[in-house]
Amino acid sequence: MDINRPIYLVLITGVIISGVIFASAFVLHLVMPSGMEVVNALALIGAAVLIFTPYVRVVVALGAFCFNREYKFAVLSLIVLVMMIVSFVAGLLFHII
Amino acid sequence: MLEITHQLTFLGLTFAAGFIGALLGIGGGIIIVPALTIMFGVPIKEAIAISIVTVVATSISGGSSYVEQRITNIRLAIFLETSTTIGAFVGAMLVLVVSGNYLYVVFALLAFYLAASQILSVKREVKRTESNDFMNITQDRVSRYLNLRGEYFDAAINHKVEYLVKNSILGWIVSFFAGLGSALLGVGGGIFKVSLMNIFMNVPLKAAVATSKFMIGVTAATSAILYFVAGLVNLEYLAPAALGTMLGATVGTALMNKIKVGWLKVFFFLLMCYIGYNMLGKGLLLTLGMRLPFI
Repeated sequence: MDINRPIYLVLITGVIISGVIFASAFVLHLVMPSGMEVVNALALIGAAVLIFTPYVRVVVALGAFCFNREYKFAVLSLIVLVMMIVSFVAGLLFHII
Repeated sequence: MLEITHQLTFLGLTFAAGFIGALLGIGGGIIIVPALTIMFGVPIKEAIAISIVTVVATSISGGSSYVEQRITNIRLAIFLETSTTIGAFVGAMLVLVVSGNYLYVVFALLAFYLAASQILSVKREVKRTESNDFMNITQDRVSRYLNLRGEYFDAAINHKVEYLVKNSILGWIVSFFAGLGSALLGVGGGIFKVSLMNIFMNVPLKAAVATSKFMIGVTAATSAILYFVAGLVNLEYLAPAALGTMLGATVGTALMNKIKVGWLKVFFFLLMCYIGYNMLGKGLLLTLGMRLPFI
């Protein structure tokens, strides 16, 4: 399998979904400035999709490398995924920000 | 609530940041943070929070385009992401106990050194790109073991450029420090990655730009969640900021491969000088209380 393909699909899906949500929030803000709750809710959902995409990208890379039997890169992807999760958990525990 | 004119100015500004970020493989925080604090009076922490979310936006929109154009080296990206995520984690832990202030000066010097290397290697890079001469090197053991290599089609000169990656161990270590630095200082993730790959690892500049663009989303996504949890992301700015950078990144990635690599190097040199000066200014201000002009 060409590794570019699944990764491209993950990224472009994330771009399109979050892009449409952000565009709706932006237009809504312009035409209906009183509807801030809806605008903010949309922005939040868009951001969630956006932030989630790199995680999915690493998981999909991991799967694709396993499928290709490129185990060296599957292990590297797993390390990246673990570090992303560890940083996130540690960040919450230690109130880094 | 933001006024319409503000919204549109803001959209234009983040568009520019997304565009430049796409051309040079960086996040664009170096443009968005000062613009938000100076032009819109946003508190610095909130500005950084917005900027981190836009880094994710530009990384996935720009990154997707470069993957589609087959310029990104996904295997090299994943290899370097292991050390950059570990570095970012260690950096985030260090923030709790030490101050990163003295590091500004170290990173400033590194930025100046890399700026000089960029401008001095313009002729050589152009020649090597045009004659497809990135294969003529000896790989180290790790690069050989992982078979790190790549190729892309250079649209400015209309032919394929192939390359072998070298110095993987050094690259892995420097990438650790890039992650550490970006966690401690909140800037510089992309800038140091591009130079690292291009100058030390024998990766042609365009491939380095695309690969860096792809990589920066990983560390930024984690930081972004933490900023959200801390309640620092101002939702009013979010939609125009993300939208602007995504559109800018889309235009930038469509253009980048058509620009001659020599020009990209010169842009990169200018950016590195600006960043070096900025970091030096901050470092001197925070450690010695010395104020340089325009800081």
